[in-house]
Amino acid sequence: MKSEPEKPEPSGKRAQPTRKIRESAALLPLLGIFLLLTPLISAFTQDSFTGGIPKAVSYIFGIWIGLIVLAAILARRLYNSGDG
Amino acid sequence: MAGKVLLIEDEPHIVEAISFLLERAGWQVFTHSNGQDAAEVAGRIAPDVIILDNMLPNKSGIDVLREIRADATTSGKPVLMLTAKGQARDKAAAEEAGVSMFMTKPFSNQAIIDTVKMLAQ
Amino acid sequence: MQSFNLLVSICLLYVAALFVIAYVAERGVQEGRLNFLRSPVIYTLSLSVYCTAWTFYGAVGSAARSGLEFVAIYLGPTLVFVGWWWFLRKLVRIGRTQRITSIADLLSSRYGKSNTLAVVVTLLAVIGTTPYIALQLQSLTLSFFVFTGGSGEGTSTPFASVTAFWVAAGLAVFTIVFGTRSLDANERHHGVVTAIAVEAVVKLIALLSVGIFVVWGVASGPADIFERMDQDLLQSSQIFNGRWVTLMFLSAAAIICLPRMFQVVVVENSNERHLATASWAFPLYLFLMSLFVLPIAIAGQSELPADANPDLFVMTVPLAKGQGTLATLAFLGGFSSATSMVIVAAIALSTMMSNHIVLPIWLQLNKKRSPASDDVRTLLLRTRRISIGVVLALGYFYFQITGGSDALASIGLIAFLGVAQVLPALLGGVFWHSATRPAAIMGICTGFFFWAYTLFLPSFDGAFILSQSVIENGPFGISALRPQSLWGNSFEDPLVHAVFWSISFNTLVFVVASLLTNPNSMERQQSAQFINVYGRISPSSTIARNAEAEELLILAQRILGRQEAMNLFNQTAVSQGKVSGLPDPTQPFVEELERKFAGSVGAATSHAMLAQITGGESVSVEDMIAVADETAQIMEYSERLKTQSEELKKTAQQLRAANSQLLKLGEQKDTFLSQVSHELRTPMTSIRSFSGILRDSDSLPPEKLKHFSSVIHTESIRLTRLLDDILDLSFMENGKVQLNIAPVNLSEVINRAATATETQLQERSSELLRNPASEQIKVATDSDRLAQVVINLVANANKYCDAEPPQISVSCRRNGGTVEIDVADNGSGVDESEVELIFQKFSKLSGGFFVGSAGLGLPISREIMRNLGGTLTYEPGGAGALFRVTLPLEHTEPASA
Repeated sequence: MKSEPEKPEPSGKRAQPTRKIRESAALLPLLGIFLLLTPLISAFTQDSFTGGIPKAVSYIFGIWIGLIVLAAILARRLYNSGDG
Repeated sequence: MAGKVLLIEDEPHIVEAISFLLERAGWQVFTHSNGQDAAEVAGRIAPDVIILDNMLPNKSGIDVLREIRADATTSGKPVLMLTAKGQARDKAAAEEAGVSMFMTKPFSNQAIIDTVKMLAQ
Repeated sequence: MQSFNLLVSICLLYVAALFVIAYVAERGVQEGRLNFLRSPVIYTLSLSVYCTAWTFYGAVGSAARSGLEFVAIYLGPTLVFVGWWWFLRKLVRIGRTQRITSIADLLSSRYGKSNTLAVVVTLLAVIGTTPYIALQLQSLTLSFFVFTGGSGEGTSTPFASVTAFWVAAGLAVFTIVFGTRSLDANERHHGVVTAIAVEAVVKLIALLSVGIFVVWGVASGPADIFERMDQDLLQSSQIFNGRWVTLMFLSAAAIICLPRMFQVVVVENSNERHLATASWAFPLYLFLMSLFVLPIAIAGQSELPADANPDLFVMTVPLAKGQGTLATLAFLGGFSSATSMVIVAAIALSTMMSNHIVLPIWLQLNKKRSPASDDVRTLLLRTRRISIGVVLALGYFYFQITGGSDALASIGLIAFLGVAQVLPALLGGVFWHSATRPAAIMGICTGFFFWAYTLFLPSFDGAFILSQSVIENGPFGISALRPQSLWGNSFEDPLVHAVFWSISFNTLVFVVASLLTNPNSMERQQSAQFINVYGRISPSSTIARNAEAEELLILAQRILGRQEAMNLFNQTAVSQGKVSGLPDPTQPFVEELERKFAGSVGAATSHAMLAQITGGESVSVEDMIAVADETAQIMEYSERLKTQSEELKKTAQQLRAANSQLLKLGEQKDTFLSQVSHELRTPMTSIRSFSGILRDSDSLPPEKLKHFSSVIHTESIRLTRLLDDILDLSFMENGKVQLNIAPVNLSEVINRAATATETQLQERSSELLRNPASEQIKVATDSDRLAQVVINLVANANKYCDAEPPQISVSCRRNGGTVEIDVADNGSGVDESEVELIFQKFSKLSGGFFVGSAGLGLPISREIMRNLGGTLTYEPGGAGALFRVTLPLEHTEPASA
């Protein structure tokens, strides 16, 4: 991640993360809540297996790692745009 | 040859010196030491030249000069004013009052003889 | 099986290593080296104090009992961190700008710096954390027993309590050494944090190693492991239920509210950007920590006897498979989890206890003397050390009392809910302007009560305060008040029940009380600081004048005065067509206010103040305070300028006075010089004329020659005397005259004067009348100078007396301490209007006129008398002129030289 080239960005962009990124960062936990804290979860957690792993496990851990990846992307964008 | 000179001066030694010099040059010298009645004396004597000291007892030389100029008999007489102060202010006042010539003490003997001679012509 | 001694040695070595790491880190950061220790990675790893021994061991146990439920404990924090932009960022910013030292401090600061609130939160934290520490001690003791062959059932044996004691004591020492090294302004402990980070790595490696061993050592891969799973284990069809939501909520609240979590997340944060990294890295850590929980649980269930304690599967599975080293590693992981939690919790609690309980009491007791900062520092460090000991002792005793009971096993979630009671006040404090201190206190206390009643006390199974019958039938048999089913509502789970009621009542009371009470000014200020911590509020629309008229009124009253503000608001309300109440804060009205305020506080400040309320501009309270400070400074400066200009005015006046004085003196000098010039030129004219005559005339009669020479001689003498007089006068006026004071008889002085004036007197045939008897007075004075005065006076009388022949009388007399010498003549005297004139330089009385007088005699005589400490006056009213010399019998210095 450190190998990301440090190109000088337009100053305007550096000063403030774009509105969409800030909004995405704010919305991410809501997405997590929607996926993990609503009855939606039950639809994906039947007692069945995918590739030897229970669907419930793969669903929850999948959402989890997905949130982490999205958070990492957003954090880097926010961090790089100078308003961390 | 020469005429009458009236010397109005309060310092006796100066009176003596100027009288000696002018008399030797042939002038008839009248002296007066007081400012009070100086103008009156001048009118009575009718001198050809008046020598007037700036600082006189009882009356300043300028006042005496004004009186001389005010009197018809003496208004045209040449007046040589002597002063020991030599200040420009006094000189200006004297000129305004109608002085003919101005001389600062001490003066050279020749200068006073020449001046009186010049004024008399 | 490892021997107990070997295990103890490993623990000691491990702790020693932590000591070294903490020490090196502390020194390194202090000396500016090892800056990587301030990196986001260390920060993220330090957050792992969330994973205690309870989660390290207990997650597997929970998975073995309730399937996926344990994931909720990790998902809650994940959501909070993923949503850092919402809340954690603000919390950290507040913590940094307000220099927050603990969660109690944060709430206290937000709610008007209320210490009551801080004490409430501190007590809540201590009550909630003590069982948790006991839980760690239990876990550690249990894990010791696993290795020494015990079954884990014997934690109440004396041996167990000894172990727990030494663990607690060791942790206390470590915490005291590294947690109270200094009173950092921001309460950061780099040594401890680094040690915690190392422990975090050990935890993770231990759990991952066991997991990998289980999946690929015991089983042959993920699919194989899940094949061995008990079909009922996951209970995945019921995964979404009240407990799932409750656990998520609790864990999410705990990651913010737990004192130790607040410590590492907010207090120990050295850079806000670290949070951005932690937002994904910490969830990743949690993800990795929980990845192998299920496989280990499954392996434990399938490989170990049915009565094996699932809480210890992490160690017992490797042990059962003969992997002693791996089991030791797992043990170290658990050990790390427990120790890191205890250390950070002890630091956090000791900070709260010393700052909010001990220090206020001490300040109260020492009110009279102002405490030196060193006093406070020493006191704080000492109380922190003691507090750490107390916290660990409490934990130990709690463990001793309840040791081994099931109550302890469930304490983790109970503690979560306990500290979660501060959540409404915390959220309200950070997002809601109207939240007030009484509301916060009441809300927390309400929540605390319900928590204790519905969850904490029942967890003792009737052993503590609430009896078994009360738990089952309600107090006094009122079934509606049964602790675990209030109002007869039966929740499937006591935890859900307790969470629901305690948080609901807490929030309800908090909200209602906030609406019913008004924040004081300090709360207003602090709430603005907290809620607008980012400094700029992004304007939501072009004109975001969403001011509250009430707030405007308060501000107006402060600036304009109560009556004027009320008048203004009433007028505006009427003009807006309102019958009663406050006017709408319309744009024109706000602008008018701004102008009015500007008259009192200046335009910039006025704008900033209104912008603060109306939110139309991005100005923080800090900016406002800065502006106010600036204004105060400017006012002080202008005040100083005013005084300076007044001083300048005064100085200018003095200068002007001095200048006119100088001008006058200059004029006097000019007059004097012109007079001197006149007096010098007169004798010089005679000298020049006669010397010229003598030079130019060859034939002068001898008598003329002699006369002219004598005139020159006389005039030269006059000139010399004149110069002498001028110098004499000048010296005397400057006080530079040398006096020869000696006793002398006045008759001697007058004799000398008579002798000196004899010639002059003869010239005018004047008569000098003396009274020799009166002259027999001895005086200490300068006889030469006094004689000079008398000579002057006699000579003057001789010159100016207008009687013929002049009679001059000199008489002396004593008058108290002074002597008087009168010199009188028989003339007509000096005219009254000329009395002052005669003492001036070069003045000649109009009547008199004598050669050789420069008019300096009287001024010189008067100066001489002044130098001799006496006076020379003219006494009018006599027949002739009467000059009186007065001098003291003894010489005194003149009043002014």
